[in-house]
Parts: sequence; C-alpha cells; structure tokens
Amino acid sequence: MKRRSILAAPAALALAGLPRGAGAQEKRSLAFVVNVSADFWTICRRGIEKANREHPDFAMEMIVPGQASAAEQRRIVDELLARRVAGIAISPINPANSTEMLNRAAAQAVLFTSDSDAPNSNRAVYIGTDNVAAGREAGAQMKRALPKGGKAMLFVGTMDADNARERVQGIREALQGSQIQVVDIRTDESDIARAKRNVEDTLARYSDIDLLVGLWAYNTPQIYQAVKAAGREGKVQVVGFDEDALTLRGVADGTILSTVVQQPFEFGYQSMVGMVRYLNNDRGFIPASKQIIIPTRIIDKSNVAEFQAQMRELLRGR
Amino acid sequence: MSKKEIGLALLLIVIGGITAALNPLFLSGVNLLNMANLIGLFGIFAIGQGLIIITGGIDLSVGSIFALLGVVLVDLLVNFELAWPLAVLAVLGAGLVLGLLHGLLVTRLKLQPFVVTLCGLLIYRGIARYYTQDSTIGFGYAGAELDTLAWLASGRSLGIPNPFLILLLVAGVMAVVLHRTVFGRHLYAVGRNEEAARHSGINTDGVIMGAYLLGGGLAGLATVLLVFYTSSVSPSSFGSFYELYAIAAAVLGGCSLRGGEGSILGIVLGTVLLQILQNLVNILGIPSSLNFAVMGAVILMGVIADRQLGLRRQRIQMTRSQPAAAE
Repeated sequence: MKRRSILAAPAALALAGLPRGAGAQEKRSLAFVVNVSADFWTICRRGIEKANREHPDFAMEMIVPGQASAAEQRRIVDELLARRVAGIAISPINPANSTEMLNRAAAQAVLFTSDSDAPNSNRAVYIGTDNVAAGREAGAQMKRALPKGGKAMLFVGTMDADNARERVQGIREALQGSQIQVVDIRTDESDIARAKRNVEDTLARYSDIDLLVGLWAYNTPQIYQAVKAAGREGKVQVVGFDEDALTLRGVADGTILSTVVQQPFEFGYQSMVGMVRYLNNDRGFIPASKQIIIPTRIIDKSNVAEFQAQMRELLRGR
Repeated sequence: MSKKEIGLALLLIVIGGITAALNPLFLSGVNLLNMANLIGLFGIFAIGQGLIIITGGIDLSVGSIFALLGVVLVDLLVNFELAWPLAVLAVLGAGLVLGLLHGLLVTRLKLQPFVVTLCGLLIYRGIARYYTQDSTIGFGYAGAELDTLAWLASGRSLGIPNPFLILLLVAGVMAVVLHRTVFGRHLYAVGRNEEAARHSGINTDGVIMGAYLLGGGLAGLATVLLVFYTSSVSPSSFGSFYELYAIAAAVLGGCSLRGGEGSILGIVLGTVLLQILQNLVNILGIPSSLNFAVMGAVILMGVIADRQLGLRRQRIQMTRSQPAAAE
C-alpha cells in the first residue's frame, strides 16, 4: 500500500499540473455512487441537486453501476479516483469485503458511506438509515396489523444483502414474545416477475396466511397487486418498506396497512453538503459514533395523501 | 406427438404427480391458473427463441429487449399519454425492427448470431437505463385509461388468464407456420445444413431473416404482457436472464442448439416444465435459495434421459434399417 502511494505521488503531481494550466479554476467534483438503479435513488438525486444549487462551485453527480455487483462498483471508484474527484459518497454493495477499496478511496478523497455502512473502513462518516431500527419499526407495524398474532411471510430480493439481513433481524427482535410467527422468507434474486410469483404462490399455498411483508422497494407493490388479483384484500394484511407509487396507492386504498420509508432525499443532500463542509475543514457535524442516522418514517392512511403529493413533486420531470 | 414430446410430457406428469402428492394445493385452481398465466408470459418468447434456434441461431438479447421496449411502452403510455393501441403497435413494430436488424447482421454481414445478439443484450440494456436515467418506471400514478389494455394483457377471459390464451393462439399459428408451410420446411433445412439448403435453391438469407423477424415480433408481444404483469419496469433488472429461460425451454422441448430440430409443442411443454419447477419450489416450501439449483438439476436430468433414449432409438433403427438397406 505504502510503496504504491510513493510511486504514485510523482505521477499524480505531474498530472495535477496539467489540466489547470489554462488558468480557469476547475470545479471540484463530488460523486455519489449508488448500488443499483431504483426510484429510491432518483429521490436521492433530487437531494444532490438541491445541494448543488446551494454550492454551485462544486460539480456534483450520481453514478449508477451497470450491475449491482461489488466488482462493478470497484471499477467505478477506481475511475473516480483516477479522475481525482474531491469526495465520494457510496452505498457499498458488499461493505464487509470492500474495506481495501474503500480505504484506497479514503486515502485520496473524502469518503462517506450512505444507505449501507462499512464501519471497518476509514470512511469519514455514515449518513443513512439504521436498518435494524427500520426492521424494528416494521415489526411494530406487524404487531399493529396482527394484534392477536398470526402467520407472516417475508419477501425480499436476496438475503445476502446487509440491509435485508438487518431488517429481518430488527423484525425478529420486535416480534419476540408476540404471537406472530414468521413462516418463511422468500427471495426473488431481484427478478420482479418472480417477486410477484412468490406472492401468488404463497397465497395459493397458505390459505391461512395473515400478513405479507415486503422488505425491498419493489416487493411491496408486487404483494399489493397479487393480493388484489387474488381478491384477498382485507383478509391478508400487508406491511411494506419504501415509497413505490403502487405501495402508496395501496396504503391509500387500505390494502396496505403502512410502509416504513427512508429519506433518500436527505441521504443525497446531507452527504453532499457534509462533504463540502468536510473539504472546508469543518468537521464539527460528525458525531463521535461517525454515524448520522436519518430516521425512518411510517406512512399510513393518516399521512399518505400528503406524502404522495410530495413524492410526485420530487419524481416529476425526470 | 413425437417420442421426444411424449417423453417430456411423461416427465411433466411425473414431476407434477410427485408435487401434487406432497402438497395437493399444487393442483388447486388458483395455483393452476397462476401457472397458466406465467406459462403464457414465458411461452410466447420461448417460441420465438425456438424458431431462431431451429435455424441454428440463438437470441441472447431477448431479456434486454424486454427492458428497452418495456420502458418505451410505459413511457409512451404514462408520460406521452399515447392512445394504447398506438403504443402497443409501436412496441410490436420496434420488436420487429430489432429482429430485422439481427437478421440483417447475421445474413448480410455474416456475423455469428451469438455475437450479434450478445451485443444486442448489452446495447439494449444500456439504452434502456440511459433512457430512464436509471429509474424504475411504472403505472403507479397512471389513471384508469389503461384499464382496457391492462385487462387484455393481464386479465382473464372465462376465468382463463389472457396471456395463456394468447400463447395458445401464437402456438397454434406458429405450429402451422413451422409444420405445415414451405417456410417451416425451409427453416429446418437451413438449420440442418445451410450450405446444402442454399444449393437446393432455398433463399436461406430470407428464411433466417424471417426467423429473427418472428422472434423480434414475439419478443415485442411478450414485452407488453410482462410489463402488465409487474406494472413496473426497472431497466437494470427487468427481463434479466429471461433469454436463458427461453433457451432452456426450447432445448428441453427438443430443439438442438446445432439447429434443424424442434417443435412448437415441445417448446410449449418445455416452458410448462420450467414454470412447474419454479412453482414447486414455492409450493413445497423448498428454500428460495435452491430455486435455480432445482431448475438446473431437473433440466440436466431431462436432457440426459432424452439423449440416452435417443441413442437407444438410433441403435434400434440402425438394426432395423440394416436388413431394409440390404433389400
């Protein structure tokens, strides 16, 4: 590691001198690297845009990997470092095994993690959700849906993703001592059609299932559609995560009891503003824990209309 | 029904029987209709894939075509508020154009189908993602004006899912085309030996082009149905790997990747088997993580059994034909 940086230093100095020769001050750039394409990140992008309006002297961008793989993310980070960006905020796909890559980035630029933390790396701070806490929130909603207990089925893309595991852990913690039994967790490997099939098959197999829980953004709308198609609204309760338009429609019409939403707008905004402050040597905003937890919200019938309008506004004109 | 199809049908009955014995809900009306719906969705483009495979080609771009045409369809309907018949026609037309493009590259520039459609897989997925700026688009905020199309693409007639009925129609038409027309005979001839077919006066380029056109058109049709199955399209994952389901169904159904073999009935039965395999994982409560492993294992067993039976049949035919040849 050390030897590489010594070798790289003269080359980097030589390169650094080149593009600025013309005299025009280049904007320093900040990048937000996400894990996969999703509406969630479109909302985050709006937060980045807001930060960029407040700090026009920076060039801020969001980068979406072609595939949700750690290898693809590593390639992106390497390219960003080669481009000499001033700061990187990243939602690491495989944080536990990406420490080396993250530390390399942290050595050359400001590094924040967002959405998914990598506590073993040298990241300056994590800005995002505490997914175990979000799972506990969902667990509380599950108890609200089934006060007398019952059978619940969970749906998620893959269980090797940290946020999936942490949410399940939070749910199990919250359900301890309750009469709610988690029958199984069905995964779909991010294939939306399979996500819907899993729900259809569950409804066909368990006539006595009481509660369906969607852990990832696309799971809940597929649950909503399958429950409606099977005519089981009201007989089966639904609790979800995130703010897909169909999820919100389901909350509004009562098929879905509630959904636990994160605040990706804040992820984007606070990460960017935070990196600007960090680059200006203002580090007072970083707590000792190096984690800035952005709380989740519960959207249910009482506040869904207002939230829907807000989302439509954020996602408009993309 | 050829021996191959009978063998596949027997395999279906055995697997279905075991599943039903372990959990009778497998045969419940709800489950069968759910499966019929999925068989319809996956069967339509498997037939397109099968036609291309029969010519000795392959189409790896199907999944990416779904993503690209899917985002175009949703965009036309939701953001441009185009009348749905026009939007559907546009998507079907775009499917045909992509098929034509593949056909031209394969026949005129003599590129290998694997390479052409592999590039298609990469290009269409990339365009779909760029077009949507990597965001999921869907019918979430759409109104009731799409109800007719939604019913056509994902509703039920007399209790039967429309995609299944559409598959029956497509399979019927394609069976006639493949098994009862000159074009169909030429498809096999080109697949068995393109050189020989050309020398015997068949317009091989035209025949191959026809197969890719049909494949593209059926991919366009499948796009419309798939989009209404999920109601949303995330460009990075929508339809990912679906080309492999289609290839697996075609191969299970008796298509040889070397070309010149296969039937529509076989491809449909192959699709049915694939869907049953995915359904039984859920119905029997087998961990989701084993889904692909179950699918792969059964396909492998099916192909091995088919190969062994085929060799035995060949030997029997050889011994029978020897005296005949001596006459």
